[in-house]
Amino acid sequence: MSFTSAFYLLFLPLVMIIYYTVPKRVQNLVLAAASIAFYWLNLPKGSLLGKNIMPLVLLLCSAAFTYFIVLNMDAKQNKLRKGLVATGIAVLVAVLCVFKYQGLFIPLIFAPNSLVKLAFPLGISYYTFASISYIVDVYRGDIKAEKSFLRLFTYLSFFGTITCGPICRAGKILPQLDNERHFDIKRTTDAMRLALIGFFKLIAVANVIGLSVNMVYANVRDYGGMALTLAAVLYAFELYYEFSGFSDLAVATGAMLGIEVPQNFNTPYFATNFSGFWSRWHISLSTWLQDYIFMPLVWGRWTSHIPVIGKKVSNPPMISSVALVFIISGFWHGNTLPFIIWGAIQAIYRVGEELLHKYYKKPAKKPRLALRIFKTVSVFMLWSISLILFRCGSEKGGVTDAVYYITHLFAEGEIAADIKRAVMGGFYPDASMVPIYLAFVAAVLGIAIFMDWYQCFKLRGKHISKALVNMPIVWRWIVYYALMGIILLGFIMQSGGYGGNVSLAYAGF
Amino acid sequence: MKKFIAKLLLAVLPIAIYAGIFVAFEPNDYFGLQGKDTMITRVKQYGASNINSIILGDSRLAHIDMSLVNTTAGREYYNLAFGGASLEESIDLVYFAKKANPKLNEVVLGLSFYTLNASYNTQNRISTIEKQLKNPIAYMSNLQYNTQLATALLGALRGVPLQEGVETSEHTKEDYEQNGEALPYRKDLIAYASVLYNKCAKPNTLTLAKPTQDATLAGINANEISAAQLANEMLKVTKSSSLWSVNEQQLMRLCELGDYCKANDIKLYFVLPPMDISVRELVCAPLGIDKAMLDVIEKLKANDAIVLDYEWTNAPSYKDTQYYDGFHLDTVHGLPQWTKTLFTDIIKG
Repeated sequence: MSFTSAFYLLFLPLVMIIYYTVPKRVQNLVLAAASIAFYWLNLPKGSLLGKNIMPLVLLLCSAAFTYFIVLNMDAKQNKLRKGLVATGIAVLVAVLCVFKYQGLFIPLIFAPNSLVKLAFPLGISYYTFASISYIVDVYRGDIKAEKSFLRLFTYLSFFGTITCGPICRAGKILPQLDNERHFDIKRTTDAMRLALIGFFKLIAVANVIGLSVNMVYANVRDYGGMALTLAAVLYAFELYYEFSGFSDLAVATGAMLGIEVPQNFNTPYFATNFSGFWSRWHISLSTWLQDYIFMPLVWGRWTSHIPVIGKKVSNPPMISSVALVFIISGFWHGNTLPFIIWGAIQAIYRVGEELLHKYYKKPAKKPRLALRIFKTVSVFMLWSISLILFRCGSEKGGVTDAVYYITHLFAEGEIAADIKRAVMGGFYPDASMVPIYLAFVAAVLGIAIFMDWYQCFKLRGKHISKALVNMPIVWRWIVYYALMGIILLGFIMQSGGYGGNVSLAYAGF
Repeated sequence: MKKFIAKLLLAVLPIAIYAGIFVAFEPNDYFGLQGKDTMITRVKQYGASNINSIILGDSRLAHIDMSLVNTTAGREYYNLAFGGASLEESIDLVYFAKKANPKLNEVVLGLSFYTLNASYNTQNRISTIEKQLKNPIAYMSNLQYNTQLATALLGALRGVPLQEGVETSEHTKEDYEQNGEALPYRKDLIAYASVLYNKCAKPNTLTLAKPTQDATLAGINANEISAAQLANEMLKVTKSSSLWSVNEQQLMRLCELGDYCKANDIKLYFVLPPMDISVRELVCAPLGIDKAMLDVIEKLKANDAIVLDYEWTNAPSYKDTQYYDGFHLDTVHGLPQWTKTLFTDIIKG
């Protein structure tokens, strides 16, 4: 069950009814039970009641381990605290690595052609990072240790965020779980508006674009240069609207249950440099990496510990830390070489930008419109090219396909025939449906980009759903119905995901 | 709170309207409100039918008159054949039927050189249909059904009646000549044979035909294509142009099915329906399909299967007017006659 499955539309209201009916002291229990039920429904097939319960056991163990580490840490002297933090982080990271890089570890432990395969635990990257931030925050004294295991488990396993984030901080969520939560009509209405936008981005934009883009990436060598370029650009939109739509749904789910979940995106495709881009893309991960990796690296002057050259380093290692963070980010995103290269490319972009700023003067804060557009388009194009590696990382061809893709971006080819083939292969095997598909994609993409533009420049970063509140009631309802109609069309265009090739890139992390 | 619920209901109104329209006009009568006989309704209702004999295959068996079948055979059969069914789907349906009705004791399974072709589309919709039978939302969100629904609705708005799949026609002298010259086969049969080259021969084996049957026939009627020359071109094709080969995987599954049926006391008949001589002479003989198919029949028989072959070894001498096209018997002039023959042969054992 995912947010876009029809069952979720029954699951969430049912949880809400029980959650708001029971007394305060039971609310977290209901939420934890709902999260376990949600997780259970997403478990792979296995032998216990038809499910492989290992991922669920792992989630429970991970939460219990975090709970005991922090409780013990709270009671110990300073020296031991450091050891407990280190142990906690090391164990959590090791478990994450075992599952994430099992393709590398299992052949080493068993045999090169071993058939042993561990079921990938849903959301392990998200709840591991949340656990680490909780341990570190308690160690730093930013928050107090949580005495209730139920509350900690509810925070780590919350079904609204476990699939695709955002990575929530304990300091923001745990206090909310300590309070009684009441049903609030205005908050629920706002959340439903947000969910409508989220469904639009996810179902009508990302998933529909994915139908044809997936065809190109699955058969890279069958397409000409222009088709490859178009697919690379469209994939950048697909990934963004998929992930951002999912984040909107996570925030909306939280709001419906009286929990404030942070926004994860803020119109990143209007950023004019990579520094700005990364402060607006997957914000919860970027800030996590900044707080728990970048800052400790800089504060700890990690380069000074390098033998021989370490002694000569006097300045804080800003640039090398930035590079290291992005390479780690590549490891977090995937377990194949293209993801690591993707992380390295982000490091090059970001470090290159820093060096440009260092050796040339910093650009004006308010550049001319033409320059601003040029910079925005440049950032977007560089990002789209790097995503070729990101996307190929999940395909069989891996690096070989990615290299072929990038070196053939502008090669010759019959663009019209290629588009027709990709659409007929991924969407509907009838040539007369191709223009309908293309018109739909152009329309929804146009609407989605306009919404982002409005959010960025007119609402100054406030979510686009807020703009609907101020509209005259008739127009507001026209927009609601229009969006619902488009979502329904998008849902049907992919056969509801029951027979189509619907992907959800960030659910794999 | 009342206002909130009212707004909520208002918000889901478009979805409710869509669902209403879909349920009323959907093409397969999934919800059983239209009284239609479709593949979905047949599969859905099979479990409750208590009929232990089934017919499987593609369009050549899908259109047979079931009352005639039941009268001829003296027992009830349930037709699970459907247009465009691949061999893989038909085989899967046997296992599905056994699961739905453990008393299943007889299977009549249609096959042909067309469905045994390794290049034939081997899509399998059975698992999707099974999923749809369990989940109405999976059915309602299916793109193909929604496209059919939209086409039917547009047709209704324009006043164009929905065409039912009746495959019958009357032929005149004009169907057998072009520019006053007699043709070796009926015009539409030549066009039909040329279309079979799309699946059975290498690309561009035929230079005169257009890609679809309708286009080729329109070209013949407009004298853009000489039907005689097209037929002649097909006769000159050699085996080296053939793309046809036996789908060994499905052939193996047929043999396994034979063993499964034996083990479960199910009487299994492999039936190869008749085809017009034009297909045999213009397509099968030049491409060497005929010899390969005889080997297939021998292999099935060697596995103790009952093979009722009207395609190759026991082809009835029907006139071309008894065929709607090269592959399908005319539902008025040919199919009833063959239906009687087939089920009389089955009764004889």
